[in-house]
Amino acid sequence: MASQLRKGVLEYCVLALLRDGPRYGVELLAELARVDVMATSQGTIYPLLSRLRRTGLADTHLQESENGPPRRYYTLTDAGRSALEEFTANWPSFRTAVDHFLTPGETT
Amino acid sequence: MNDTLAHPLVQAYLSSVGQGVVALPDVRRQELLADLREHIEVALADADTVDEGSVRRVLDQLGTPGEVVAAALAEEAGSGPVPESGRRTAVTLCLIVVALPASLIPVIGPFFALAAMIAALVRLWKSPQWVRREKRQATLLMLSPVIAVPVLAVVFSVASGGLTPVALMAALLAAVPLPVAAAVRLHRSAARVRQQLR
Repeated sequence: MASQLRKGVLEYCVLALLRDGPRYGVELLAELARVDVMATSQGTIYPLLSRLRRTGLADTHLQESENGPPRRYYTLTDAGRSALEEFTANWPSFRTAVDHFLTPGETT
Repeated sequence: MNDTLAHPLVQAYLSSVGQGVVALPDVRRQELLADLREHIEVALADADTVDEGSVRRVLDQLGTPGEVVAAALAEEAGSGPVPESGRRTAVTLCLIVVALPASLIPVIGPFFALAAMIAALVRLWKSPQWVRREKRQATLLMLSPVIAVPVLAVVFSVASGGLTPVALMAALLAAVPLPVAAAVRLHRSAARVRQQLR
């Protein structure tokens, strides 16, 4: 149930996490895992990240690190930014609509 | 940093995921494994110590190989082959089969064959029903008579002493199984795609 809900919104949460700047994979997934509802097995996010890269919503580059191997940073592309803006604009009315049906006495 | 990837637990994990996603296109499979490898390396570099416990923790957070495989296959499902109408497929396959024998029709035959071949190739490559690899194989089989017919004609001519129309015709007919094989393979994979969607 929760996983079905998550599936639809997860990619926008990922895009939103990239809004303020690039993050590397492990960092991005740790940030997602911090919020219980979005917490999911981290490995299952990589196919999603691969699709975001493939469809041009996100981009990646390798960057050297002080400790350990270079990190692959994900950045938001212009297309990704506008997809996120569109979702952000639609979300409130979507949320209101669901609440409308779920709240007892709201439906007539 | 390579030591962490050599850890038996990591090896077992990656090979288990690798086996689970054999159905994915090669590029996608390699990409997923590379992403997981990088993740494990970086996560362990971020951890203070690298021991059995931290390796287990990193792998636990990634999820079971089964979960990762399921997510990868689900992600791919949306972009797989999409069936077209049975009628459209039938026309394409007929064109593939008919082109070569049609070249035997006097005068207009070769032109008709060429037109049928081009139409079949265009329909094949425009269709979302077959993946690139299937299209490539079918194209090779369809075009192979261009080489096979002259070679067979030479062989038959040598056998029957001199290039005769009969030898040429025999060469053409002998090459017919090539495009037919292409049509059969395309038909099978199209049927499989339709089956999956049911």
